[in-house]
Amino acid sequence: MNTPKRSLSDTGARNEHRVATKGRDHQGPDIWCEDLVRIYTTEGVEVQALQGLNLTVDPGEVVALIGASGSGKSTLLSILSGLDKPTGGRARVAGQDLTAMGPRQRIDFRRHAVGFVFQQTSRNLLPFLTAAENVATPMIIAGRKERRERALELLNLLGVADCADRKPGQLSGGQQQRVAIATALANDPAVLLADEPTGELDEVNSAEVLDIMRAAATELGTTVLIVTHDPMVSDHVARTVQIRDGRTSTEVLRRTEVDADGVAREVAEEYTVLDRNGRLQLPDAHIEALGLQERVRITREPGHVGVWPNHATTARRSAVEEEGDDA
Amino acid sequence: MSALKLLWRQFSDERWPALLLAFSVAILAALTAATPRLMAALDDRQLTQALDGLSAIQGDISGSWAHTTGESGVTGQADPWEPHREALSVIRSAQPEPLRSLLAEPQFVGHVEATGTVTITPPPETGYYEARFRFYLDPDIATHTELVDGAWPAVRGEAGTTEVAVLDTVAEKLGWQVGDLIDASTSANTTLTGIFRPIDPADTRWEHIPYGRNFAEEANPDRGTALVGGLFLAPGHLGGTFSATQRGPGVREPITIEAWFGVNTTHLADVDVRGLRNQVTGLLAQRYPNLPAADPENDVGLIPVEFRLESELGPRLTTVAAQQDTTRAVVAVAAVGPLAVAIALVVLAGQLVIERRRATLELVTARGLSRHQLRRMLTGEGLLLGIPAALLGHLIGTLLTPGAHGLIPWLIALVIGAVPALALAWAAQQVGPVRTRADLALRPGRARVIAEAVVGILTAAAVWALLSRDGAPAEGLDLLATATPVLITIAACLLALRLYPLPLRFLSGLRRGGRGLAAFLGSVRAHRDPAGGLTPVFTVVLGTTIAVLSAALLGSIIAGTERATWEANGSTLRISGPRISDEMRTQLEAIDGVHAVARIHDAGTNHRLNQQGEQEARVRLWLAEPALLDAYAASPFGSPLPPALFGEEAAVVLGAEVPINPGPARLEPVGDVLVLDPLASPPGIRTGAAWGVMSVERWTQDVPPATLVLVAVERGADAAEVARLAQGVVPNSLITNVADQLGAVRDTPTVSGLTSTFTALTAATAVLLALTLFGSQLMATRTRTRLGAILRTLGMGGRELRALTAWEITPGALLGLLVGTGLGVGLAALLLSALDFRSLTGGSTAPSLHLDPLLLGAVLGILIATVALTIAVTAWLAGRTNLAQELRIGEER
Repeated sequence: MNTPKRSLSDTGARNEHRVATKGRDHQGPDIWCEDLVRIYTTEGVEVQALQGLNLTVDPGEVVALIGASGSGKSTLLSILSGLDKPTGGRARVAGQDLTAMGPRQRIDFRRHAVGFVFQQTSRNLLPFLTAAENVATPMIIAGRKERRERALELLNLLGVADCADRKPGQLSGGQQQRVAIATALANDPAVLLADEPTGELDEVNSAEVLDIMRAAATELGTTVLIVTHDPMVSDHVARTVQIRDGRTSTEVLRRTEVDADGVAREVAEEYTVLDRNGRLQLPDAHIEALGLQERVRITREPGHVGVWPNHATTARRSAVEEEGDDA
Repeated sequence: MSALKLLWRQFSDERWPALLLAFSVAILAALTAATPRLMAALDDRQLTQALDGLSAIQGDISGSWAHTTGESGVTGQADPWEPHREALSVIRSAQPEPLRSLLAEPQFVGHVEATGTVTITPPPETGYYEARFRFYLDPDIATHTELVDGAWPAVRGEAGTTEVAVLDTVAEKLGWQVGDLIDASTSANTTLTGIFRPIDPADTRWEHIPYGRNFAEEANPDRGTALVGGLFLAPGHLGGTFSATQRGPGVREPITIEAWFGVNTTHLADVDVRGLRNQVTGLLAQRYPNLPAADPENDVGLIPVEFRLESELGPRLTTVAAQQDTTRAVVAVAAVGPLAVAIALVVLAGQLVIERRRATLELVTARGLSRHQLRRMLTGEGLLLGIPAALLGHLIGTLLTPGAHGLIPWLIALVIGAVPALALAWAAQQVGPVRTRADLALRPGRARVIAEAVVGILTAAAVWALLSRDGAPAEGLDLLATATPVLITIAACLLALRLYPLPLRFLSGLRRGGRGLAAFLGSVRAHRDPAGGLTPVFTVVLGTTIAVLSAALLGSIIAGTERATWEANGSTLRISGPRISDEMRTQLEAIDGVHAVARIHDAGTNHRLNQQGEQEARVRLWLAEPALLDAYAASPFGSPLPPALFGEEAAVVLGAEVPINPGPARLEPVGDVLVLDPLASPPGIRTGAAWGVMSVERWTQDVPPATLVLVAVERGADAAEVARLAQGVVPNSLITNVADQLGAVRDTPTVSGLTSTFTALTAATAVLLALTLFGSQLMATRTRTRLGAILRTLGMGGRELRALTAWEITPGALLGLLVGTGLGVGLAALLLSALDFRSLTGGSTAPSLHLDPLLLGAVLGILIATVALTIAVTAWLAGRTNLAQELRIGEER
């Protein structure tokens, strides 16, 4: 092979966003969800896992999706990876409408459009195959040729080329996740979805894996969506979306700014997501601090909208609580 | 890296689930191959035994025609028997198989009519007052006998004498030597030229020519004993023009020629008995010429005589067919158990393979493996595993059982070999790219409810049809009686699967407050998360049911056959043949060990019985001595005759088919009699349908001579010795000892064949049950191991862990054994009432349910031991958790 060997282990790489290196036959964002709803019915009880979620991820972005257990993030990931179908709303991944896909299209989507990294390292790799063979497996499923060469190329890219002939049981946790990422990238997907990829790793390995993912996005132009409940992950990505009660609530965008003295500093700005109907979720901290409950007053101020607590409601609640205490 | 390499790696990573699947397919194929072969072998043995049990007179297909010397179509021929041989060979060759192979080469015997009897007065020192002989012609005498002295007789002797050969024992008795003039009273001057003895006295041909191997003695109370035997003429006498008893040509002598085809059972295999019976019927329905068709070129004026063939083979074949139908139904029901368990094992093994590969399959389907690709992969693997295993199992099954080989069974084996592919594809339906969370799971499918409803409806309909029908179908396998127990078993299994959580729930509630965790946790896991799902309970119930059913049926058949043996013999000893005088009776009673002697007199047929001037019947009447009640008491089943038969009032017991009701009646020539309750048949007495038994003391006419006596031997006495002494009292009689016959019962094809078949099927059931239980526990190995590791971190010891595993399995298995045992006994009772087992037992009444404690105990013992061993092994393995490995403590990553 004449292509120069590249490695993504240099976390210091600061290449510019190179979406153009990946061929895409669609315009617009790689992930787009509008009012996405997923309802499960079990024994007569309905569970609304997603309640009108909106999300947009542009090509090449690395986004962390953070939410508590039961917030709907795993459900969202299942839908975006084509493993599940939404009950309502719209969703497009890599230009493909997930709500309109038939079974064959879904299979093709899972083969070529998305790559998936599971939380448990043991679930990502087949224990009886070597690292190279694991990476080749998706290519066999997709009927791709020159599998060995592509597998070695990906392993080299992720810095685990020396592990090509070792089985997962002979690899460390971090090495396993790198091989898992390579496996997920085997068929050159537009989108890489990762479910708690650092869940079983220590801090050092976690940081390494996240950096690898970010570098893959940069180098290969792959869009990466990482689902996690670990707040530490957000430190390693430019954009963090918080999901709460089946909806996106806030986003944090990080950027590095260099001030007039040439000192680089990280700037994180938190945003609340506003859906197309004008609904937004206020952070819990603000709600508690300001005593916002039931109805709030909205005022339009110059350049912003003010949200004020409803004093009458607050006074009535206090009176009710006092009566309750006296009783 | 290719798809095949991926498959091989997957197989090599954990081979045993796939090998278990292959092994279960092999067992299924072996059972499928062996069962019909066992049934066919049993059929053949039953047929052979039935045909061998016929005497030559009864079973051989024979016919006869009249021949007159000098006027027949063979007169003047050098070998006058050859045309007859040819004619009968043509008859034989024209028969289809298997009848043609069943018929032996034709044989003949001719005997000169009664007017040709020679009667002489032998010297007094012979002990005979008279010797009577008949002339015989046996064309094959030189082949089947050997000359002891002299030469074979010529057609015509010197000076016109009649030359004969005689049996060596006759010559010895009468002091004859070669050359002696036997009878000078006729003009033929019968001269002895040869003395012979039979090469094989046991050859059935001598039943057609009894005086060719023996002579008879007739006792005359006034004159003494007369000897009766045969004089054998030269076979060529048939074509001659001379009389055996009169000198000179031109005297026409009537000869009856009997021709027969012996029955050759040596090569009987896989015979369609009904087809054979139809062939025999066809053979006996026609008339045949005794000479070949006339040849226009060599027409010498042969005049064939037409004759018909006869045999009792047809009715015996009908009986055998009924026996085979019953046997097949019983074996078919018994085979359901191991076959169903084998199928359950195949399905379970398929589930086990998929379960052990669940993570792999979920991963590759998440990576884009389509359902079509998955099915193709699993189908290919299933065929690669299943087909060689099925062929090997089929080969083993055919090698272990007798029978012919055919193409169709191999094709069936191939179909069985495809079952793993189906099992894997079916089990893989549960595998998807994501695991469904329990709280988000869909409602349980209705398929199970629908299946249960369908089975319940079918079962109810089958039971109602079985119990309300008039009788079994006249011919063929009784499908209703075969299918109904299977349906009942499946319905009971489904019910048990619904109900078995109830006692487990009760048990877990009971143990909740108790000390120790193992019992509570084990019973909770058993009913909330049973390892292997419902399969283990299903197979234990099914396997136990069928095994117990087989044991109960076998015990009932053996008991029924023993009862039939006592019925046939009547008492300990049955003596028949010559007349039994009062003196003989007294001598019999005097033998040490004899408890009772009862003579039975045959008063003849056609005695009119009339009741209330309306109903009338004619019966054959048997007159019995009062000691008959004591003679019958020797049987463990007691006397079927009521004591009132020998009471003050004249009474009679009639056959069940005689249309006379119990009550007063009039019997000729006795007068008024009381008709007692009817009986199916009187033990020890061979009688037709219309019969009656009364006390000889109430007989008003001369008592006819008794040729039958039943002797009861005291408990503890040597019946064989008594029989030997009785033979001396009543010489030339036939004495049957019930002990000998009971001993022979277990060697009959029916009993021995069913015993070996049921033993093989029960053993197969036990092995399959163990594999199924073990396999189902292996399905839960991972979760149990993880649970065990956690419990051990909480301080639970290895022994408690083993107890936990035992508690998981034992209640369900115990319930399955109990339900299966009860169901098996119930089904046995149902089958005994629905099928006619009289054809198997030979008795006049259907056998009742008899639970042989040894047989049943052995079967239950095997099953309990199997289940206990499986539980013990599973529990032992569960206690060997490697805590650190399971919890991954201290392992560097």
